[in-house]
Amino acid sequence: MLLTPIVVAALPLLSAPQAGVRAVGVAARGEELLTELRCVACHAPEDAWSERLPLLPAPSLTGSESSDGVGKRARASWIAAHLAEPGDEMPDLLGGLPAAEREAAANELLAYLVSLGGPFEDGPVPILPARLERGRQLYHSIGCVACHAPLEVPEDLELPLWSFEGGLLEDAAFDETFERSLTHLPDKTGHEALARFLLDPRSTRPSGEMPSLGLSESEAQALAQYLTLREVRADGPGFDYAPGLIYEYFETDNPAKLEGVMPVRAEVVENLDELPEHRPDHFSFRFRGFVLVPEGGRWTFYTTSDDGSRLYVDDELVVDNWGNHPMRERSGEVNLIAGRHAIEVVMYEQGGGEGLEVAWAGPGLPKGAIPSSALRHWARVSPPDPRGEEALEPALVARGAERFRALGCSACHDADDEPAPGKRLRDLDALAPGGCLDEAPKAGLPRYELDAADRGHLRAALAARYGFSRPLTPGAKLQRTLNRLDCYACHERDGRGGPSDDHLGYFRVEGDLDLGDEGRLPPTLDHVGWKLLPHALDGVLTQGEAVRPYMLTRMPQFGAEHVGTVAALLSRIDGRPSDPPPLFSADEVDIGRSLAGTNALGCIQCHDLAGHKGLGIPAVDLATVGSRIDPSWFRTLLLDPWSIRMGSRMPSFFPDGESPAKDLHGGDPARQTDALWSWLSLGSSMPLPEGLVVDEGEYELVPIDRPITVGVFFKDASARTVLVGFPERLGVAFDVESSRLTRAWRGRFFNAEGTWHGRAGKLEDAMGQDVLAFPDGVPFARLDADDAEWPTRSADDVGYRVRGRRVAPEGDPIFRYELDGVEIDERVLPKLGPGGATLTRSFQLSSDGAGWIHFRAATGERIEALPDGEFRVDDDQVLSLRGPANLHAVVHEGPAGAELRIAVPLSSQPTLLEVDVRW
Amino acid sequence: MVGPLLLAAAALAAQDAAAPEEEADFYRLITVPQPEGVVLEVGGMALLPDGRPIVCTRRGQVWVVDNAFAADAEEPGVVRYTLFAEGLQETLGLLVHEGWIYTVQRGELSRMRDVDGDDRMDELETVADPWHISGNYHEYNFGPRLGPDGRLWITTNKPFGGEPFGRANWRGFALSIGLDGTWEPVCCGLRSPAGIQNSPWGDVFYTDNQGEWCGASKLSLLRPGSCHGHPWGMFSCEESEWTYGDPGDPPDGVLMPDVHETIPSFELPAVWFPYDKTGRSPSGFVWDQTDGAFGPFAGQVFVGDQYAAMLLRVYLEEVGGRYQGAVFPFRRGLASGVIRVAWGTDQTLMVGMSDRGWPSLGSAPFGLQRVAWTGKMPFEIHEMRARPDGFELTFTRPIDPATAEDPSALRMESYTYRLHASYGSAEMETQELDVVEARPSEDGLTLRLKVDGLRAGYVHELHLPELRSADGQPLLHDDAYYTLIEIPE
Repeated sequence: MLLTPIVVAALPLLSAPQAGVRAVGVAARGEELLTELRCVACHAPEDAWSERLPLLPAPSLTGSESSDGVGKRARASWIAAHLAEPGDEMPDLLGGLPAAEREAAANELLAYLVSLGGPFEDGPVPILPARLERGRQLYHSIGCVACHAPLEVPEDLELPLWSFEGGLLEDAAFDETFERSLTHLPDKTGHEALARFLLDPRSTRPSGEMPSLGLSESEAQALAQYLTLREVRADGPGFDYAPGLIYEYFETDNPAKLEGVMPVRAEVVENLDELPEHRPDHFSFRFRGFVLVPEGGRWTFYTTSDDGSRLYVDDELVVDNWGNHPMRERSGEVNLIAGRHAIEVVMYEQGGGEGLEVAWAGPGLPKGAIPSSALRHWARVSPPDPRGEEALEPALVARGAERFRALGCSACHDADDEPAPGKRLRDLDALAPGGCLDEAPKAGLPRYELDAADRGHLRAALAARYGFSRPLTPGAKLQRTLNRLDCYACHERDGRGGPSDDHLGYFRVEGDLDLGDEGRLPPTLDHVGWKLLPHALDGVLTQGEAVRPYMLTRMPQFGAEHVGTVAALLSRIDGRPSDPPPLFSADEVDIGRSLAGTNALGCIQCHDLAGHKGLGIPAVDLATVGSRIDPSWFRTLLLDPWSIRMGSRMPSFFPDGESPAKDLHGGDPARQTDALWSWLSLGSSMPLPEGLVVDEGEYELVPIDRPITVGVFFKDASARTVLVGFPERLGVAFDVESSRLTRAWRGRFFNAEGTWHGRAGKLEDAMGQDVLAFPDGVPFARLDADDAEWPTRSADDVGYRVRGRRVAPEGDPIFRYELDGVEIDERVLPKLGPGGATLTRSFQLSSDGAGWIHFRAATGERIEALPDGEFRVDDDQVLSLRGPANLHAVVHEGPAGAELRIAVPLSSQPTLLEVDVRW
Repeated sequence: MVGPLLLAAAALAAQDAAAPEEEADFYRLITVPQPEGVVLEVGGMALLPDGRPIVCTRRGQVWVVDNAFAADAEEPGVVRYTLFAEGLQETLGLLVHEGWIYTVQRGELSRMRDVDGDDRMDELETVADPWHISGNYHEYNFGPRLGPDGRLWITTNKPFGGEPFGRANWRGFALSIGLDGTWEPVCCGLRSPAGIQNSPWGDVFYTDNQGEWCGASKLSLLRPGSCHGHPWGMFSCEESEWTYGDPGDPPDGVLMPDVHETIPSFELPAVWFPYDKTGRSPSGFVWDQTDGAFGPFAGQVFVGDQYAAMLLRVYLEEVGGRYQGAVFPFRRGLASGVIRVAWGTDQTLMVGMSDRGWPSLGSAPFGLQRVAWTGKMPFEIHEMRARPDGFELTFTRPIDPATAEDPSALRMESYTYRLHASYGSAEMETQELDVVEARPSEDGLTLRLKVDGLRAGYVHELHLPELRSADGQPLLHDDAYYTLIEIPE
């Protein structure tokens, strides 16, 4: 069988830089080729040249902790074919050898390569239609086809690929003109190996050109299934029936509506003895496959289920056990001939207990569970690869390893510190007869698929090689990365690039959202180094950060080693001198919040807000703006939108320089813009504007006008914990049983589903971000000395008594407890500041007499007193104290770390203690 | 007011004599609507001193309800809700007492008050919190109710499933708690004690739900020191606070009447609720203290059932120093699972409901309804009293003696239950009973049954399908379930 990669190799050498050829000079193109063809692996450049001529490692063959060796990820027959006729950047190293030696060398190399993790194995792989379909949609939407050939045209993706009855449908007409086809993958690798590769492609291919797309395990499985199994036909080659049934798990309790719904999980079960893993309530399962009937005759099938179930044989309803009920048996009879019959069992669960048991009885067979041996599902089985086992003859492997070194393969693959095998770059003669650039290189030299133009570029670059010591300009450096990683396949910049017409149809938006091209096409890179702050650029490039959840195409992750400098380059090239950002104040925040509401500029008509849906289309969440966007770019966008020409559908808010909101800052657009910025700068801590309709499911609690209080079971606290959410987007957890504030967080407050849905009783956790943990143990203690040991017993055992709570007029609870005659009222209040809310803990301490009580304000590894009387805890928390004049704070170094203790003097008058906590 | 109404009703009844009577002819349901955003999964109900209902919910919220008894209460917007308090944990009972509103949360007995009169709680005091919880969803507490000792009584549910913080003490107990925070456990071995109520004469009763170690749902007296059969939480009886001695290990697989041989403090119920015949999940209950404003059942008990979304009626009598009596179906078709019942100022019965986590035959997920007597007299067994040789039935309307005299037209059987570790008990030792004589009184309001083979510790189930009233109507409910613990002398 002729293999596809060979076809690929016959295509123009590298598809990515086609545009680059025009844009850069002949020598510059040659310079790129020196890197891409890895000439520098054999021909070492001078040190001063290496910045411009980096060595890009070829795919790893030995494998590592995070990647498979080549013998494990590729079939031996494919490796053999690839050695015989390599392609892409890989040169043919055996081409010049006499035929007999060539064959021996190929066999030895094959043996060595198979030994690297091999031989390849690919057990029976279940064909899961839902997974196959998911892989197909992922492949054609998340960005794979920006570089690889699509396997279907966009219109066909709406038609089913697989029917459970008929197997794979015949491919619709398909335009075959795309490059970098992946149709060879079923011959090269298998489902499991490909899934592992896709999860972390860069550890196998360190050159970075195959980026990571941030796939989940199940997405990688789905893509691998599609790319390796899509050609398997029912009852065709590689197809078989394997024991067990396929199941699909849905998190809905309405199984009447499963058609077209993507299951949460699809796997194989051995039998129907027990339900696979599921959430407690509100779910459905569908089991499908075949049942092997041993003898023809009248067969009875039974289901016992809680709640409803139905069983079909050959598409006929045989058992109808529908409806909500406890475990209940129903049965049905059907005449069957001996042999294989399609079976399907659907069950659903609404609430309470759940279960499913399936049994059968027939001629000569008493009622019993259907054994695994009588259940089948579709699977692909790999044909045995005879070359794999044969190849592992030890002497052959040893000779192969030697040959691998001798041929210089290790200069590119898993390169070690050995000196490069060829002449130094500086000493090369670009016109040497029999050299790499000759039409017929000598035996033992690599043979590349070069055309005359490529040779011209390379010779020109070599002629100019002493210029390599001159550093590239930032623009050229950036250009080179954009070319090499083919950023232009998706992005446009300076009038170049962006999706080609052929590819436009594969850029899609989630669902049917009406976001136009902005919703589906990756954004322009014009001005991007000005628009985005450097850390935001870096987040997108190297941290996988994304702010457009509706866009199906993902920003690939090429790795910091390849794009780590891009953020700085873009900032340097695009950046403009920035005006100082507007001064922050709580009043400005309030005006900004009002402007964003429906009564003024109405930002929430389109934009999401700190995780809450906007009123219309879900444009970028405004909580991301303050920390990512340059304030002067924002000011320009609002005040002079045409100068930025974002191509955005964002309207102009100040037509003719007039604001529709006259009552805020006198309708002054500049001051209003600055107020909006103050509000935006709070990020996900932004108070929510009026008019926002909070519809995050019925259980999310969103304080807008007043604080919200809810009692829960809470992690790392007692089961008697009260959460308080403030409109300033601060949440806190107070453990009533321990009289202890345990957590504070910013952003979203709490989703009460685990506490308010079904039988509930979930052990809850903070929902938002920036979660701050307060010290474990009791907050106050009566110590004999500042450095006495802090009590470790429970609040109960230390002598605490829970007194209850008062509710402040503002609606927040004031927690009340008592220790040893000292009555303590504790209140937490949010405080708006740049970056979001911080908090103030205030305590009122009442007692009959004098004396001291100690408050433990913080614990950490390191606590440092700052000059202004504040304390810094582990670089993530700053505390300042207010209280009576003779209060004193000490940092106590104990065995478990540092403690900030505050000794508070008591008197017959109530004592006030306030602690500001910033984090 | 009652007189003319009754006359009118009687006239109406005579006119429609031929039409079959339905529950709704006599007890009408009034649905008190909630606006969007008010999720009234009722856990407890009480009346404020000004007569407005106050309702606590499973979400830990407390609502004050305005206009709940208005004539147009069913119209949208008439009934208004004010969020009195929130942030409580699974509040399942309310008691208004001496200026405070008491409730029990998962972790404490609390009392609340509104100081400034804006219908919002200003203060919550922790009255007592001597128990800990493990963080299991089923660690519910019910109550409080005022006990005969003047203290507050609560019942505690046992957990099911995981206990994130380890096993906790005092689950499956009734606790008596003083306003000063002192407390003592009074009964042990409870399973899922979803209802607790003090009787007009002071004794406190509770309802328990059928399951493991609880063969059938029941209404039982919380006699101090008594054991109710579920061993799960009884390890706490080794703590010093339990002053009634070691109850012993409940025997697995013994008929209920024989359990006291192993566990002398085992408390047989006042009534069992036979499964599916009288609901499945009894919850809140209340004595009829309306003196006839709610119909003819003054002094009897109305019991909610969560699964069946219905109300049951219980007639109790004292025999040989113990309470026992009969269960009758009363009113089906409530909107959701009944959790609590309480009297309104207008002598309608408020019914608070929720089906969350435990499905119910009702169609709504939660809500508040009121049951009002229409003034028409239903044809019902009024009381069923035990006699040394049988039973005496009284009726709300005169019976047709001709339909009562043939004992073969009555069906009666008796059975009991087993105490065992598995879930629920089948009816055990079932026997058909011979009714040897059925003698109506002259006024037609009493029917005396002589029955062979009465058994103490057994449910005596009676069906009267052929009995007719003097005006030819069959009984609205022709079945009754008498739990005979003591045969009177």
